[in-house]
Amino acid sequence: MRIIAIVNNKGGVGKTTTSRILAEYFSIVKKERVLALDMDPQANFSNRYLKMEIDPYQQEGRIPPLHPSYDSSAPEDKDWDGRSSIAGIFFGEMVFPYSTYINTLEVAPSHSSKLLLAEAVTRDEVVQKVYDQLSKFLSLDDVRHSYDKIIIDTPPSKGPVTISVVRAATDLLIPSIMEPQPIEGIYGMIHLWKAETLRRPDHHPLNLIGVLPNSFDRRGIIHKDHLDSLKREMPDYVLESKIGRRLIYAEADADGAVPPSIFMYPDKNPAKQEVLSACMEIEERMNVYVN
Amino acid sequence: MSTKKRFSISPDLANGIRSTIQSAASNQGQLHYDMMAIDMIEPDPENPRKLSISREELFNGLNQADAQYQVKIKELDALNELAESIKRVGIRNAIEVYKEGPKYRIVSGERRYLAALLTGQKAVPVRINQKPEEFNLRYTQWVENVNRQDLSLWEKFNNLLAMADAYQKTHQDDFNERILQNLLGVSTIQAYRYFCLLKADEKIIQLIESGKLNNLKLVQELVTMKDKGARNQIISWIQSSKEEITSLTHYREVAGKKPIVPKSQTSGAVNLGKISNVSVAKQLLEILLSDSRLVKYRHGFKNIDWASSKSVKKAFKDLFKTIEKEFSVEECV
Repeated sequence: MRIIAIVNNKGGVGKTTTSRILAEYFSIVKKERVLALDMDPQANFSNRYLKMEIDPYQQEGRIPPLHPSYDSSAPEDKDWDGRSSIAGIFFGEMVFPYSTYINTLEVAPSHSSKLLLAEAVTRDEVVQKVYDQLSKFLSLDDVRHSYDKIIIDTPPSKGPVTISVVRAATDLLIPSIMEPQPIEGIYGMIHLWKAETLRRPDHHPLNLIGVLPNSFDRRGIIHKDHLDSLKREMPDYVLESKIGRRLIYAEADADGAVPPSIFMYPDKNPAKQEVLSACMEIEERMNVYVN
Repeated sequence: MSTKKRFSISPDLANGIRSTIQSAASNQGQLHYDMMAIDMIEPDPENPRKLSISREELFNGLNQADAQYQVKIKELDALNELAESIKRVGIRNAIEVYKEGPKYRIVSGERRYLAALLTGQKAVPVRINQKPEEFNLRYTQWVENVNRQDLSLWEKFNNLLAMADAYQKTHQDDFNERILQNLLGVSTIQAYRYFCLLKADEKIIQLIESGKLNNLKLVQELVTMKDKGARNQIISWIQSSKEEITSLTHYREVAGKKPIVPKSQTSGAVNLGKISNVSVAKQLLEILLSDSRLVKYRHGFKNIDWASSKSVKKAFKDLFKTIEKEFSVEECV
């Protein structure tokens, strides 16, 4: 089982789009069993596959819908409110993934207020617990035997939740726009990667897949110059593939988009081709490391 | 030709990215830190820094009848102090451990471990190492321990001995002064002193264990002392001393001037010579018996027949026995 974390502490660089692309690539194209984890309180990743609801106790907060298997009259569900999110791992709750329109893709959605709470812990012992919680959950036999890939979308921060993701991950992918601010985010993330690499035993390395240039605009020179300059500094860790700046990604992201996944577009579609080649390069870079 | 604006990453950021990648690539697994359940950790029974308090005593309290009670009370105070600071700021330096059987054994950080037990912490930060080779383990413990002010010479001695054994096993060779100096990174004279410590005999080691001798320089002085009689004398003085000895100067002066024959070597008797005039002998007896320590024996010497040389001889014989009994060796000095 590979656990791919999509990280960058700057917002709006394409973490959720990249998470979607990978989750759909491995489930639709590769027919693998995939679990999508949404660790971002903004819950956008979850919202692509589930109809997330508004949290009545928190403005702008989202909570998962009632689980299809929830039965309020059943005695075994007596102590459950019928909603399950990945944030539950920080609160000692069971996690029941939801199925999606894709057969082999399941999602453990976000829960805004719970994730914000986990992100805000400061006491040393609690922070340490948050750090380890996701890794513990993902090493459960049930989880390990049920999925081939876990794709994790993360919040735009370097806080405890992101660290818990980095601790649990086998592979790290950093999407970034080739502009000064997001590139600073890359720096923050390789720091996390380094800290984790130093911490881990030799037999369980954290593979840095690299930086995926996103929203790349070929028209100006700013993106190209920054990309060249980044490649000079970290030649082994910048992907050859790029995701271009295209309206189609925004369209595929809209509610009720048809078709719902970029991989359901015709093969000739340039966006699908671009995304496919990026996914294949990512897969190749993952295979260099055998976890 | 028009000059187009070019963009690039700022030099600082570029530097940061480059060095971070390099550091990660070359140090994989070097810092394997983790939070570990405290039950998974056990102290190294061979650690030379022998804490006087055991895990059991920590929880069940100390026994006042224990001969080590005073030392243990002190140790417990220090542990409580450390526990207080752990409560406030946590354990700042991870405890170093390695896997040994089902548990993890401490390389360094035994006090932090005990203090964490006192605070009731369930988990502590650890740095997990590969199991070190015996010699490297002892060496690490040496390095960890040697600069502590509260490390006794006895603890150092045990560490050094364990290191010497491990060295002997791995190198098929004994320590010499040069090896010691290289390993310990100390001055020639200091290496020589440690070497003397290793060569010290049983009696000196006992003094070190009792805490009366806690100074490396004094050990060197004792070990290298040529006058065996004086050396044994000094050792027996230190044995009877109630406190730690900080200098041998006084003892050396006294022992150097008047070599004292220890009681065990009574064959070294002294002949007091011959007196031909009985009245001189009588006066001498009177003088001796007027000594404050002998006055109480006066009555035993009342019925001497001064005309009989046999009776006088017997009287002097008895008197010297009494003197030997009454005047301890120390008083003679």
